[in-house]
Amino acid sequence: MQEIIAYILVAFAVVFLLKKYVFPSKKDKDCGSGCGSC
Amino acid sequence: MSKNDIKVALIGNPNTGKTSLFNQLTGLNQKVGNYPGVTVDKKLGVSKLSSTQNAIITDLPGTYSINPTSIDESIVLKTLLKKNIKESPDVILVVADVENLKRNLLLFSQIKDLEIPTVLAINMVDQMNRKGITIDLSLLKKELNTEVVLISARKNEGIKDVKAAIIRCHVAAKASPLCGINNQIDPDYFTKLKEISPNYSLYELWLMVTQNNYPETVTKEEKEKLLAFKKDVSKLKKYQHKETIYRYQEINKILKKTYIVDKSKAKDLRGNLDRVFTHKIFGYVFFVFLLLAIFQSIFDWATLPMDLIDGTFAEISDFAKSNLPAGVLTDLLSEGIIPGIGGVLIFIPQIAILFLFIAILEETGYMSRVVFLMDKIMRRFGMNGKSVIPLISGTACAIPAIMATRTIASWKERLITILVTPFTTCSARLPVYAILISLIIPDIKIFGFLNLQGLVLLSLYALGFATAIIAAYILHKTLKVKTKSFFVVEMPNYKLPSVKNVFFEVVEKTKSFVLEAGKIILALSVILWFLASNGPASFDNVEKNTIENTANQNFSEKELQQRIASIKLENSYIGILGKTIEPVIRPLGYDWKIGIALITSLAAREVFVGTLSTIYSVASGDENTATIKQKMASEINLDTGKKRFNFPVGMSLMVFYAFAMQCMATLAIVKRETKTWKWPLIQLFGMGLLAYVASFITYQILS
Repeated sequence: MQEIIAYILVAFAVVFLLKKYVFPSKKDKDCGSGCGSC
Repeated sequence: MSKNDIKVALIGNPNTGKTSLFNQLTGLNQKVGNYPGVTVDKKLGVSKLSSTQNAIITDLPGTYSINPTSIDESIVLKTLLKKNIKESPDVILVVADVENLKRNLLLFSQIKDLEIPTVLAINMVDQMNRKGITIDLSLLKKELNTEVVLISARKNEGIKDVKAAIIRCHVAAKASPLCGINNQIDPDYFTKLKEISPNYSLYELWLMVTQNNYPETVTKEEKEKLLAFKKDVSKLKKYQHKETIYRYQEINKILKKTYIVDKSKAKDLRGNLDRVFTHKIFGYVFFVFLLLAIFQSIFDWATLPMDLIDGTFAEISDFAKSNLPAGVLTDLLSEGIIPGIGGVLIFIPQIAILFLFIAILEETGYMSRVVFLMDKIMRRFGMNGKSVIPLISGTACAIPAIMATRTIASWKERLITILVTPFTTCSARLPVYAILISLIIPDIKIFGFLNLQGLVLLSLYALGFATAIIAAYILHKTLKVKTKSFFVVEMPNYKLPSVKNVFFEVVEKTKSFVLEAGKIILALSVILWFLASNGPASFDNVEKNTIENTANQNFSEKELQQRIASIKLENSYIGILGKTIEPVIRPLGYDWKIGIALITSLAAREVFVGTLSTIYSVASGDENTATIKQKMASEINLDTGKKRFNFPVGMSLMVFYAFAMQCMATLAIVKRETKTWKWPLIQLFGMGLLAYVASFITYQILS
């Protein structure tokens, strides 16, 4: 069970980064980390 | 948006408090600052004018007139010329600064001539007594033939009056021109111009001709006729010149009757302060001392809370490993997620202190004095004073800084500023510097009061700024683009910082760092943990082989476990990747573990610390989890048997991060602003090459 949850979390992390950098939305393109004015 | 909502465009000269008014009307928290150029793009918000009436407020960039000289100013013209029913404003709300009313009314007079219902909000009226200003409001309303409201947006005074005036103005709907340029310059010429189309006011047609800006609704036939007016360029210029003179004559007439300044009542603190802050010697001396104080404070004030956060996360990780059932998920939590979150939160104190100082400098109006002070220096290096705002705001983040270059009229100067801004030390570099400085620079005071760590941090900020200026000079000499340049900067009044504005600025920036950077670091920590805990077929035999190979050596159980964890990491997926790039980075003093952190921080620099934290957690195999700093401090270079993060390696890494373009979001924004991949790619490879060479030299000299 632990393994299943851990690997689901890994999959979520991969999808999140792909969405952020490979297929970015307009919001992601406008603002990076540490940027407080977007 | 409902059909009945009133569309209001908020327009005014730079630094008149448009965004403060926008925030008061909409209840939003857009960034405000006591310096020009805070708004470079339009922003929308909804305002409840009455129980039955809402307004859609558009905050537009500041402009001195509707004859644009830069991209941000052209947004205003485009919005005003729109005839599309969905986008054209119903009411224009012009914000003027009470102290500079004459200059502000030039823009107002142009807008009034567009024959769109207009409200004039005279802001900062709380300064009137101190400046010895008196306004005859009822006469001013009559003379300007418009709704005029006195407000103090910062103090939330007069906002209800603005809302009521917008409703009245919208109901009245009709608007007449203020100056009526046609009769004053060349009646025949302007009568012919007006005959081109009944759908536009005379001034709209005049703007289309002079500004070469045609709304989509202009027909082909109308455009051809308008283009015919452009043929006589000298006549156009002469008439534009006459128009401005005529407008100022009219404004002077009106203000003579309605606006009185009694200099004997004014208290001239501003003049005295300006003499010091913009002095050709003392101005720079004060600026350097101010920066020194800021960076000293960052280290002095942040150490205690940082150690507290670091220690707390080490204990949480230790607690999780000791108390949760052994397994993959517990490993992920204690070696991936918890150190990853700790790697973000540890930097909250330093980031918050940095933004606190920046917010105070912006709020007081000192930032504009810095811009003025720097103009002379900037000009020698191919930029102008306006480049200072992006360079200074780049200390927070390069993205809004690059967007702030839209205020620079000359394309060449703007491009140079875009290209060099990423050299400015942004908040993402701060975590990298902070941890490395605390590892390699002793926490001692020199001359009894200067903290050496703070001094090194200041030197790194200076290095970033100096590199930006040198790079600008090289680009200035090599880029073959001819453009004219001029520099006008608004000198705002000095103000006591608004506690509310400073508080929101610090909270928003810190929250944004934690949430935006935190999500990336957390996701990367999880993936790194997976890549560090798994590997190809040989990975599974590591434990067995290590036990067999070390059977004859007298390792304690703890030493054996550490050895197994270390060899496992070396044979994991991430270990193989790090080993592959190791030959390239070894001349810089880095091993494969640092190499992994360099790769992951390509996305964003602040990931560096979190990555090392995760790698060393996996590698330790020890239940007594140490803090991030302790883990890095205890890492040993197996070749020399000495500390991995020694002085030469630490300096080499800081130099690398000072120059390398490790931020994908910045590359994306540069592409958007320059409309080509050419410049971001030049930045990526140029800065990367500079970073590699500079850290190679640093390491080779120091080691």
